[in-house]
Amino acid sequence: MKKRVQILTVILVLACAVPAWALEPSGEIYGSIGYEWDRENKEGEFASIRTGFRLALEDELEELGKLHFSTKGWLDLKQSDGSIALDQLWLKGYSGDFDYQVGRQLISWGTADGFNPTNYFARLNSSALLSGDLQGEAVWAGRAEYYAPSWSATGVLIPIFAPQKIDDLMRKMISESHPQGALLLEAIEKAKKPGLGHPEAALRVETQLAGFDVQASYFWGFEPLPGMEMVMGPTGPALEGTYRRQHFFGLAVAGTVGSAGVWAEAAYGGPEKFAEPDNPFEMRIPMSINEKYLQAVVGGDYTVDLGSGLLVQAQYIYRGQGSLLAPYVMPKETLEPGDIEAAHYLYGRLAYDFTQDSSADLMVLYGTKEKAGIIRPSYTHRLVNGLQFELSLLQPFGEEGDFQSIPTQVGLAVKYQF
Amino acid sequence: MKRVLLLVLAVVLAVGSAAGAESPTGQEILGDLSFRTILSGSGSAELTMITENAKGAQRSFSLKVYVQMDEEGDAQFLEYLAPADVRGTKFLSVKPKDGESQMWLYLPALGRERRIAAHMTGDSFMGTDFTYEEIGGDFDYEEDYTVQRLPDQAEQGVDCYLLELTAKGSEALYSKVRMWVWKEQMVPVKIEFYGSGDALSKTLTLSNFLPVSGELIPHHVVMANNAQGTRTILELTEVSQETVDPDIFTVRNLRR
Repeated sequence: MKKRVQILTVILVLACAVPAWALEPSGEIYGSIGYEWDRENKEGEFASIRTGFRLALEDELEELGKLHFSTKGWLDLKQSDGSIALDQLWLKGYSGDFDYQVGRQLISWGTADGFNPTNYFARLNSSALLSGDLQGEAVWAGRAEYYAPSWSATGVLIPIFAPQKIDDLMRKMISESHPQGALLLEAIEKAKKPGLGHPEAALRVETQLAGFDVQASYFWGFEPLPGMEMVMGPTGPALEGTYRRQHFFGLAVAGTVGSAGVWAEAAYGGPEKFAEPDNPFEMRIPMSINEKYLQAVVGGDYTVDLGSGLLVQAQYIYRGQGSLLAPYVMPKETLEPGDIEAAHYLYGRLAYDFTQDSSADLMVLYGTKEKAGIIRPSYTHRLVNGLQFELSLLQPFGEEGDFQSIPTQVGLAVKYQF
Repeated sequence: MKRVLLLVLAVVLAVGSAAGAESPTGQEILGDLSFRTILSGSGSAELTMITENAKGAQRSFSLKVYVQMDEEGDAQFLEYLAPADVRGTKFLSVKPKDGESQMWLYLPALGRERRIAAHMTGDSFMGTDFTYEEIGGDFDYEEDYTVQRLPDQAEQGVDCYLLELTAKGSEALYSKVRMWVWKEQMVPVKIEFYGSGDALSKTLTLSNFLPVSGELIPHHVVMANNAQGTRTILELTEVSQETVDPDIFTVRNLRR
C-alpha cells in the first residue's frame, strides 16, 4: 500500500509540474489484465492486473538541439507490486558535422527486427521478447556522431556498467530450468558489478555499398549477465558469478533485393576466459560459455498483394552461445562443463490491416533444437485517436526445451496515448 | 510532365499559361504541366491529413512535409506531428536522377530507422489511400504513359482539358489515368486512376488553389479509393516555397 501511495504521489506531482514547465507533455496510460494457464498443474489464474504510465517532456532548443525527460511506472494490483523510475533524461546537441547526446538514453543499433546481435546496449528482457515490445532499456551514456558526405561514425561511452535486468519471466525460467535455479539467482544477485573506472565503449561506422546500408561496429564492454562458475571447494559446491570483459566485432546490412526487403546482422566475439583458480584445492566448472562465438540473424520481408497487403516476415537466428532463454548450463555428473550447443531459431511474422482502425499480427518463434516454440497472435483496435486495445495470446508449443517454462497467457490491454 | 507531385509533398503543379497553340495536343498540355513544378522544385508544407473508412469514420493526422526536386533527383521528408500514437514517425525517400528509390522509416518506439522495401511502393502509405509511390512523388507520366486528348469538359466549375493516359508497359502503377486540367491555370483539378480491367481505382481531387510565392497551390486535396470506399483528405495549412536545406533529406535528420 505504501508503494502504491508513493507512485500515485509521484504521478500527481509530475502532473502538476507539467504546466510549470510550459511544455506539451506526451506519453501513455495503460491498463491490462493477464490470465495464465499452467499446463502441468492444469490450473489457470489471473496473473496480473496492471496499470501504468509513461510521461515525456521534450523541448526543442532552437538550432542547439533538444532536451528530453521521461519517466514511467506501473502498479500491479494482483501482485501487489509496482515501480516508478526515470526512463530517459538527455540533452542532444548539433555542432557542424557532429551530433552528440548525453544522459540516460536509448541506443538502438542493428538492422534486423527485434533480434540484434550488434545492439550491444539496449538489452531486452524475456518479457519484452514475448510481448513484442522490442524497445529495450535506456542506459546512461555519452554518444557522439560524425557525419561525412558518404559515411558516418558513432562513438558511445558508458561510464558505469548496468547489468541485464532479471524480470519475473527470466527469474521463473532460470529457477525452473536448473536444479539449482534458486542458487543461480542468488549468485547473479551477489556477483560484483564493475563500478566506476570500468566503462563500456563502442564504435560504429556506417556507409552505403551498392545501395545497401552497411554498419561495422566494435564493442568493448561486459557480459550483460555474470559468467557463472560452479566452485568445488573444501566447503562443498557453490555458485559464483563474475562480470567478464567481452569484445565483439559486428557487421549489419540492410537493403532491398527485387521487391523484398532484406537484412543480415552478425557479431563475433565473447567474454574473456574465466581466471584460473588460485587455490589448488578448488575446482571451478564453467556454467557459461568460455570461448568466442558467433551470433547472427538473416531475414527479409515481403508484402503479398492480398487485400490491403499482407506483410510476411521471416528471420533465421543463430546463437553460438546457446539457448535464447537459458543463459547457464549445468555441469555434467563427471564434473566437466556442460555442453553448450549452438542454438538455431526461426522467427516468422504476419501482419495485416483490416481497416485503418484494426489490425492483426501473428508471431511465431521456433527453436530447431528444442523442436518447440511459441506462437503469439494479437489483434489491435483503435477506438478514437490515441485510444486502442489489444487482445493477445501467447501459446508455447512442442514438448521439450526452455519454452516449457512459459505458461499460456491471454492478455487484454487498453492504452491511451497523448 | 516531369513529375506531378501529388500533394502532400508538394503537390504542386505547374502554373502558367497554356501553350501558345490554340488547340494544344495532349502531349503539349502534359508538357506544359511539367514546365513548372510546384514549389519550384523545393519547398515545405504543414498539413492535416484525414483518413476516412468506408463507414465514414475519420482519423486525423498532422504532418510536416519537405520536398526537393532538382537535376540530381527527388527527395521527400515527412514527419508526423500528431496524433500521439504516430508522433515522431518520419519517412525519408531519396531518388537519384538515374538511380533506384531508397526509402527509410524512422519509428520512435524502435529508436532507429528501417529501410522500406521497394515492394512497398505499391502499398498503402501508413494506412492512407496514397501509395508510397504517390507520397514519394515517384511518378513519371511522360515516361510511363502515352497521352491522348479527349473532348474538353467542365470540372469544379472551370473549363478543363481532358487527357487520357494509357500505360506503356507493366512499369506503370495504373493501366489508365484520366486528368482534368484547368485551362486558365494549367493545373490538374481532378485525376482518375484506373486499375486492371480499366476499373476505376482511385480519384484525386485538387481544389482551393491559393497563390504561394506567385504559384497556385491546391490547399485541399482528396484521394478517394473507389474500390474500397475510403478517402484521404489533405488540408494544407502552411506552404513555403523557400529552398529546403539538403541536410533535411538525410538519415542523420531522421535520427534527430
